[in-house]
Amino acid sequence: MSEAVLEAYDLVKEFRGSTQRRVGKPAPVRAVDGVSLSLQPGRVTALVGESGSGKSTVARLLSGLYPPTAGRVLLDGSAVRVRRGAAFRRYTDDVQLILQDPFSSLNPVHTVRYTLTRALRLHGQPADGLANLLQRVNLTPAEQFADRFPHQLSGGQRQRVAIARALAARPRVLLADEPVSMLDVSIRLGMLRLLARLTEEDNLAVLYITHDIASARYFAADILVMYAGQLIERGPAESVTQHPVHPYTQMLIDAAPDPDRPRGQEAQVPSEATRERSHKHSEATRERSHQHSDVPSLAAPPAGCRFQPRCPLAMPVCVESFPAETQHGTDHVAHCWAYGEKGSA
Amino acid sequence: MRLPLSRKVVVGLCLVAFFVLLSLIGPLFMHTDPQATGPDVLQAPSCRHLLGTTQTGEDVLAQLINGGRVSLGVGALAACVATVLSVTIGLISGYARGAVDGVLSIITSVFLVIPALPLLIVLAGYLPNKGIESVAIVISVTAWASGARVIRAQTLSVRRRDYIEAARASGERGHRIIFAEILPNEITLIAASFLSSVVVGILAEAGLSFLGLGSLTTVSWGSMLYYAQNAQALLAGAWWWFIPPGLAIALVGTGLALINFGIDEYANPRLRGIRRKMPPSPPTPAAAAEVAGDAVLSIRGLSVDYLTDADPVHAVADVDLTLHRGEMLGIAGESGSGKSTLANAVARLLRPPAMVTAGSVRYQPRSGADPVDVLGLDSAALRAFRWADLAIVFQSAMNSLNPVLTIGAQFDDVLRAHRRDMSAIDRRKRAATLLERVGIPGERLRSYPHELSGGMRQRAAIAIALVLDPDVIIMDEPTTALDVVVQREILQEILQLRQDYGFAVIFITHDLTLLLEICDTIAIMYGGRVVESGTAAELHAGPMHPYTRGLLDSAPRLRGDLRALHDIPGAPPDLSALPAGCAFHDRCSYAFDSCVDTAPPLLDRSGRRVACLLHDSALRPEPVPEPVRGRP
Repeated sequence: MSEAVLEAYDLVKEFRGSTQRRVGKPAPVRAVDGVSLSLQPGRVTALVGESGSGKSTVARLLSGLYPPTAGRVLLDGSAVRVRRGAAFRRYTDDVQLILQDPFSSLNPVHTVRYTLTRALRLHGQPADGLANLLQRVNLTPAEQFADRFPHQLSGGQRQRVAIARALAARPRVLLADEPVSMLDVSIRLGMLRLLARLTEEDNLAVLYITHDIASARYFAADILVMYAGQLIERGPAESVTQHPVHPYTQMLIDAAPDPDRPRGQEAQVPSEATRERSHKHSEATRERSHQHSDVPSLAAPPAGCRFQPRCPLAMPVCVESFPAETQHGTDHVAHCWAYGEKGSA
Repeated sequence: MRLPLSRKVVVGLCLVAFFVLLSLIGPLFMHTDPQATGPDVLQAPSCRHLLGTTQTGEDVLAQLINGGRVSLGVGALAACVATVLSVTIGLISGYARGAVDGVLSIITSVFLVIPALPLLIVLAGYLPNKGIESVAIVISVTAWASGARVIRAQTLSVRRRDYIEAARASGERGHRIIFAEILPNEITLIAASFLSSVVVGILAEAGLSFLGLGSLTTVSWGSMLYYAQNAQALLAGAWWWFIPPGLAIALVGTGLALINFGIDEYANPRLRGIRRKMPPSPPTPAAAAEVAGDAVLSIRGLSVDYLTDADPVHAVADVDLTLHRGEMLGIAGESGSGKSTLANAVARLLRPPAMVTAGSVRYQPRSGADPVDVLGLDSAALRAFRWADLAIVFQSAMNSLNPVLTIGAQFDDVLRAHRRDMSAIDRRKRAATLLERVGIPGERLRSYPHELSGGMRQRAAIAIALVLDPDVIIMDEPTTALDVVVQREILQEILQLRQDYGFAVIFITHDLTLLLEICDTIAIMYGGRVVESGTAAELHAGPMHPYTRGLLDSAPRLRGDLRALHDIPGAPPDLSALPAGCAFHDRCSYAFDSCVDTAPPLLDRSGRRVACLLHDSALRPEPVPEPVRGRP
């Protein structure tokens, strides 16, 4: 494995105050808690998780849009401390972010030409690179697209423009936050293929953030699984999807739609409903279900392992502390007490 | 882009243009000095003095023309200064937030709560010179605050949009984000605020002059009124003296307000209203669409058009579907495939400009009574039919549940409307039973929707749909907004409930792989038409339409070995510009000559239906391309 371009150690992000949606809860929301990862050139790393798991916040921390509450981000091994101004711009020469929704990520008042030339100029690239950029994202003939406004483009074409804008900086790291989830199903594969091609051509280090673990299996070398702000499993894509270790990853994979599953053997996930039924008289459960969300509240996360309230394997130790890393094959690690020596962490 | 030239705007523009031209060009032709006194005092309009004269013999027309210059000039100048102030302060305040915003907001609020007219009077009273420029500036000082408030609010909202975040992430400079990214998105707002400031400016100038606080040495519409009032023109019956300036002020104000309406309509297309011609004839109940066998819902030849200013858009074209009792029918399609329009048409939820133009929907009640012509129901019958016989679950339960009512109250609404003889206790029991049936404790009837998680809300919406024990439930993307684990839980619940209650489901989604797993039969929609239908097992084993096949071949799978994926080139078509012939031909790797000009009919192939010319022995080329591979 080659040297990492972008690394993060123990990233923590807390949101507090008025940015919170739920009123009357002054406790800070720990959206990201102790996330470490590294991105290598020419390699796609997938960050998989449900909504509210903190995966988009990780992208914003890595892109420098949010300052981390704690933890470090390293670019080429040296610590990144940029908030604004020229230093931030230099950082964006190397690290670029692609947002999820192409219908809102392009300014409706600007043509493709403006958006892209502006990006080229900002990063000191010659403005005549426009045609080349459009070609690289398969928007050809380039002249035909350059003078269009976003509303004159389809969703897929807009996302290609957004990718071209990121490429204009000639970055070495690309953070793609759910780049295909807003697109029609018939064009998703084409977009992922484009990203894969660019990764190879430019030797980009790519973080592919998604809730679709099947697409991560096909397009990423490694998969990181996030739950409620914490990384709970990481490893080579094939290993994580074929031999998932953490009960949450297993649940995620079992729940994914799969037409190849034999009929009559519908996937069974322990339902929130059955749990609530069986624990109906448990005061604790009722308390929990009162502020119930599918991913637990990050303002008052469950103690110990955050997955423990939903976990079929939950043990007393799970409530006590977050489990340490356990090894499950080459580079495949998970945080789960079911595999650790209890109390040794 | 169409300019908002509605009748209102045209009238407004004409009014304003008339007065602007009058005061700009008028003096070139009207050489009379407006302040030259003459012997003809207080004359009614005549050939010499078209609008008569004042008490001192000045020509009213000359005064009106020259006064227009001053009044309009003061208005425009005051509006320019006020707009610059409000845009600057609003943008900085909204973009910077924090302490800067705090200070600027307080200043803005102070200016907002001080009554403008007294402030104006005080400021004007202390003016060292009363030239029109200083009057204009005094007016702008009192007029900028409301604009700043509006622009701050808009900036706060625009700065949260993704394209601003994207610009920041790409390294764009702060001032360019404000002026090149945010500002252009507020142009309509700024224009509207400018125009209303002009009106305010003109009125304020008139008011000041009328009170004698303006520049009384120059002629303006306001000072004309001041002198007319002082000379008691009203008592003297000299209507020609005060009506022209009064009317001019009123008409300019009206004109500017009308232009402002136009800007609003332009920025906010919903205000444009629908003035489109409706087709005269209601849909013809198709002949003999009898409900066959155990079918509970038969859709025959259903077409829905969106009526636009240009040609109607055929959102759903000639759709035939049959839903059997207790069946789970999946409809798969991408954006613009017409799947949601179809659902809304069946549930009679279409709103203009969407119209059913042909076809029928027949519902066969369980009792064995006569089939119901759903599209022909009057509104009372429709109310009884909807929910009792056919219920709907939408994508976002947060949108379909009323946020200010408890879950229990929403059950109660349905039950009270449909089961009048049911007692309150029985209603409550029924609601609690159903809620527990979908896995939510009965005491949650007292909860409000926002107190439930997304998955629980969707469960509650399903429970409410079930409360009258309908035969058919239409589910439009019921799990799309949910996470995959919650989606699975809800799907399990739906399958279980269907077993227990025996309702039939039309399940609409973009996710074909999901349908293959849970549905009995599946219809694939593309460009407003059903292009293939069959049982889930048949579709999985051998899709016949190249589009269906493309969808399956492009979906990454979690199980089995990694295999080659094949993507579909191009993008789904725009319904308003469907390709001729087969709508899919430009993306199809099997397309041949006929596909370009021949729309494929829905062919029956041993119980399965497919709309593809490859399956038409008369048209397909030889050798026949092998469109259906065995699935691995």
